[in-house]
Amino acid sequence: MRFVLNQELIELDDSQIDINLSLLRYLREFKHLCGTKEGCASGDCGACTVLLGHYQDDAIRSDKLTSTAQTTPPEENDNQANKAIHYHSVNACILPLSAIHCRHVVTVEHLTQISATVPNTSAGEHLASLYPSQQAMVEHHASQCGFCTPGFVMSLTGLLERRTQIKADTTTLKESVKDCIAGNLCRCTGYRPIVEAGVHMFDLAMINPPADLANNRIVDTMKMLNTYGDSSKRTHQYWQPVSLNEVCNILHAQPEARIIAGGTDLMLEVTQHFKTLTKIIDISRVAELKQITRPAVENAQARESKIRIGAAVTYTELLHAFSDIQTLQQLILRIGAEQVRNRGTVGGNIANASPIADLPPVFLALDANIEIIDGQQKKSTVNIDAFYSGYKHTVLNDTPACIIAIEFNADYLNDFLRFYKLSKRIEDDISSVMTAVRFAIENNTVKDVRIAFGGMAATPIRARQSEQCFIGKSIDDEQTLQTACNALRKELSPMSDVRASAEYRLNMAENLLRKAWLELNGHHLPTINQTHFTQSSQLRTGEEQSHA
Amino acid sequence: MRKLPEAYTKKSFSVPPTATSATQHSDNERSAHQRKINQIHESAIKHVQGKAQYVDDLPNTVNTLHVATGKATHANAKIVSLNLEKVWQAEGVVDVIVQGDIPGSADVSPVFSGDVLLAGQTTQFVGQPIFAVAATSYTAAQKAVRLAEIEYEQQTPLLRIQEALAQQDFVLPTQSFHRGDVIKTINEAKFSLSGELTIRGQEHFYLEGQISLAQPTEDGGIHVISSSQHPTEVQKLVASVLGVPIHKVQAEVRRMGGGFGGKESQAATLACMAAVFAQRLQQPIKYRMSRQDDMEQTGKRHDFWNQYTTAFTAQGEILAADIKLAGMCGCTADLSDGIVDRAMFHADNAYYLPQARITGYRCRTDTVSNTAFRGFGGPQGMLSTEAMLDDIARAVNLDPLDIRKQNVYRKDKDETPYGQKIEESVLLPLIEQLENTSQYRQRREEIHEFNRNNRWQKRGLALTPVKFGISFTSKHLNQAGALIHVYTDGSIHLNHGGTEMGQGLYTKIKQVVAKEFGVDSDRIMVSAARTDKVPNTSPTAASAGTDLNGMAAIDAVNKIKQNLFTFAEHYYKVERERIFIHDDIVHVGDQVFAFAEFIKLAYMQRVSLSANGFYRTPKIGFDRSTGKGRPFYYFANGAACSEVIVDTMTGEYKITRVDILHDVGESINPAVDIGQIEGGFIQGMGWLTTEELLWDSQGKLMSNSPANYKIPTVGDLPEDFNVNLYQAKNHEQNVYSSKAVGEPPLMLAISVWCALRDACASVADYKISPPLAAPATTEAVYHCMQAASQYQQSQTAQSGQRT
Repeated sequence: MRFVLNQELIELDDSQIDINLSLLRYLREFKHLCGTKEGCASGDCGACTVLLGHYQDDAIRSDKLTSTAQTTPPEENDNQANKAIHYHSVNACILPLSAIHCRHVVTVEHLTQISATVPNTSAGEHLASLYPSQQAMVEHHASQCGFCTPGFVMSLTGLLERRTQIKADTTTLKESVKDCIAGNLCRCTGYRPIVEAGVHMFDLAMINPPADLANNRIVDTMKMLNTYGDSSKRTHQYWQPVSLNEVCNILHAQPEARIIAGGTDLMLEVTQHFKTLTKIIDISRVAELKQITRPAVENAQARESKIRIGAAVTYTELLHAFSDIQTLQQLILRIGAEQVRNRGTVGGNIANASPIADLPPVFLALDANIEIIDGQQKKSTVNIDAFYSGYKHTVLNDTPACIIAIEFNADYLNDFLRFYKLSKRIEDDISSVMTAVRFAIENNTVKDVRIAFGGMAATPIRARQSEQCFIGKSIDDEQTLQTACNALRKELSPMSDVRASAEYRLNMAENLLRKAWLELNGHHLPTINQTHFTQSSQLRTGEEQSHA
Repeated sequence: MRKLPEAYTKKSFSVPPTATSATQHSDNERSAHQRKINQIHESAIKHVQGKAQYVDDLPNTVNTLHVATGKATHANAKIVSLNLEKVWQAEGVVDVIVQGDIPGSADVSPVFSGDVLLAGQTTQFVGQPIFAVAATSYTAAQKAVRLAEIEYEQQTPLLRIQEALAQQDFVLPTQSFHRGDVIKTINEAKFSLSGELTIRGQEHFYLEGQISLAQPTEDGGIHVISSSQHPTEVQKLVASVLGVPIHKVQAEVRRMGGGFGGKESQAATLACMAAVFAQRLQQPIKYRMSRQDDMEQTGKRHDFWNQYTTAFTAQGEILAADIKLAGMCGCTADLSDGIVDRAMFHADNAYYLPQARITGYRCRTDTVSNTAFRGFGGPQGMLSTEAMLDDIARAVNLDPLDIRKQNVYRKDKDETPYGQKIEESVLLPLIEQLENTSQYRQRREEIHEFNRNNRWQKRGLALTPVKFGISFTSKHLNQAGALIHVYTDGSIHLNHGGTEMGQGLYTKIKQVVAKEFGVDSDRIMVSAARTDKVPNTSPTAASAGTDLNGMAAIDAVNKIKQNLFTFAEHYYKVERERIFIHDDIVHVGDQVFAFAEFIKLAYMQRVSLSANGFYRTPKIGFDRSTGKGRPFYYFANGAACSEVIVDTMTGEYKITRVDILHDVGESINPAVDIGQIEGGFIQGMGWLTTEELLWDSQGKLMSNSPANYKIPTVGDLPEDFNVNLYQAKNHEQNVYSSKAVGEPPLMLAISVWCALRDACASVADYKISPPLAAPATTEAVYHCMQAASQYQQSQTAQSGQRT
């Protein structure tokens, strides 16, 4: 495998790589790049945040800092070459080294290297050797013990790198800064100075534009890797196929291999439980699995039009594709912080079969079908309601197979939809109760309804009896609601654990159904934990999807 | 042409746009003085570049081995058999040890006894190390320890404070102090009330986990590099487990990635374990805990169960209080004696209790031994009293702030229950200033209005003060040393007994030395704390780092200045009064010298340019037998006003605005101090909101990873967060009239908890103080809201029956 680490092209013999080795351990133990820290080894703290760049010819250039054209000479920020590489932040601790084939890995050390080469300005020598994200952190006293600091610097650098609208108003800017560091824990500062540093770094970058993360040489190298780096040739324990055919062939030959996409869950078996994975199929490079098909809004009324989401679509990509569905957008922002959203996938969230995953209740509410392919290239479709057969058990456990995509009727997005997530902490937490509700209304009557929950049983679950109560009833009939709530209590069987008590969960399932019903009836129930972060304030991370 | 703002063009960019106030912006006046005092953290540039080295970042020699421990799966169980065959055979394993392999003492307790490096015949808690492995890699060690076969004879573990109290099972004797006949007053009073509160502990969650690196020396000793707040104790305990004299061991700490008390006593066990292997194998040994091991194997903030009974007047003036504080110490004493003491010393918080009886129980449980955590018992002592003040307010139907102001220490009502006088009058003026700047009264009205009109959301407001005693309550710890060398080029090397864990201690001591010397602070380099440079140090704890080490450093500076000035006096025949150093220039009568030039001259004339300094805190002393004395040199004060909004259906909430006014005396570095205040507040807020420590019925920690133990993120930052420094000097002769700042701000977060309870009380029209758990998780707030709502419904039902 080959990749670029900061300024260095690295070529490794796949047969010599332990597929359980994380990028973090590689950086620290093999390259002695110790600026990237291990805080938890589970993707929860962000101390190991690095940027991962990928080469993309036709990518829409994030119009980096062009709005500064008036204040800076064009040659300083018009490096066409950089447009070809798009960066996003990831947690290096749960990213297998083997997964970064053909990528550009940027660590905090790189920022110092490239900043030192910036022509000296009147800013003085200290400043010239710091990247704007670093300089802002220093000026705002945003480090205390300093251990989490490189991770914050990298998250902020990622935001600076991919932002288009530098002239956003301060509030919007602040919200994007907060969102980009929501996956970074700091135990010392209380975050206020870090947020201010994040806002300030844009001013600094405008005054003194930083060097590009990739110079021409790096871009050329990345282009070369992209052209010749056919990952499907890699066959030693870690397969990285690029087509669905190849996936099937490997599945057939290696039935015991584990499938990985983002690895945000699977890798915990290695880093937390010290298990050894022997064979991995990485499906994240399979083009067919990365597609999102979403009919234009005006066609959505057509009954037959479907929305199709590839299994390897990341949460970040999902967020971009459905940024207009507010309730979904708010949920995706809380599935995980940015580093996790950049890696975790829709297929992984479903296949994991965790009873507390956030998306399965959503897809239950959307009555989605899951398309599966097995090692014999045989495709099958199963409704998500039939997909889960027990605690952490799905139809995939029976035969080696892979999820291709999830599909649902486009017009369901026009129904009354509510997704509510309850957790101890707003950001980057696992649900104690996840509720997804869809009401299809015709003439003030409930025509169709889905009520689904996470955290209320051994699997994600539909509350069928409760649903049944609403069918054909007037939407504003309070007695119907009460009957449905009573039914809920009978069909749900939550447990008490570290996140919540069974009693609270049951009360919340009922209250959230009530809340949805009240909102359906026009009551205004503001959501306290709603983030003000919006898509428009955010820049594309690069991995654009074709919206067919 | 581009022009840079003035502040960014400075070589040492030390002016933060928001340094002196979190709310003021770049139009702040940026005087030279401010630049000087708002110095950036001495490691800030290294931090952001990833160049600051923590123990795990030091280059490994090829033969470095890594340690992991086999953990007990049962608490209070007899080990019937221990089969380590498979562990020995595991790939990469070089050595395996059990308790019997420890050459010296297996006891690694900081003060008392009972903390064993490895368990013997019985286990004390789930997660306790039973054996340890040294292997060629971290992963190999972790995999190996999972292969042990251990049989236990299980016994029922004792897990709850209440059970320990009922069984009188204590790690140390109960203490109490009192004033007046409390019981009689309470019994005879017209108004009295009682309450109880369970307060959960807190995981430190320093971002850098516990770690030590031990290297054998040629003298049969050990050089240990540790992430510890207490190098001297590391040194002492390593010597003790090895059975060698203390002088054979050097402990070194350059910096920690956070400590918060968690690395005060419990960092030493890692150093000891690494040292035992290093001694046996004569190889460098690194012991880094995984996050989960760290959470399960090291102690936390103590859970407390507090009970209070108070008598008061119809106007809410407290007449007497009987307060019982029971701390969950875990399986051993560790530092619990001091922690429960400090809880007792802070049960009055900022309020005059004319008659009081305060009792502190040190409860033993079969759980990990709890330890120091920022505030050291003080927060738990204060919280139940703040709850009590709210209860009184509801009982007499007055605003809680009025009750607080009425009872706060003031002239003639200035003696604590333990006999120390409150000599400064800071508390009431500080509270009143914050009351005004936070527009408390106006917002109270708005909130009443909002709550009347909103069914689904309720807002709450609370303004609570903090008074925190500064000094170690163990008198002997109130001492410090420093070592300063001036080299012939005029550069200055500084060591002191304190450790840097992010709090800015090194930055402040550097500033203190520069100021005392009269030189530019760029001349000074602060280097790692080492036991062979400054010996017999106290832990960097009790907020006293700058106070103690700053004064010791001043002492050292003055010794060197004394040498220099005596030399100048005789050499140039100039009177002493006309010799001084200012702005890097040495003035000798009418002559001036560059500092470096003068130092070279002094060297040539054989003047000593090195000195150690020493300091002991004056005035303090507390007599436990009488329960009277002066445990604290002075008090640090502050107050916070917090506002919250709560969803009545789910208990979800958000902290919408926080105003803080805090007393740091004359600040040495306002930027650093504000950093401590904000960080302490958010950490305290985490303790009282989202951070929930939970054990299962067998004593296993359920909240054992960041996936299920949630410290605050940026999303929890109050939307509107205003922090200001109260302008007043310390009336005691503390370092440059400053005050300690490390711990006190944590307790400002009690205002958040009170505000959440206030929001819930609104549902009962403020007639009761509904019970609220600590931490006030979303679920806890929901239950509190339900309790208020049920009360209100029962009232409505009753009034319905009457009509």
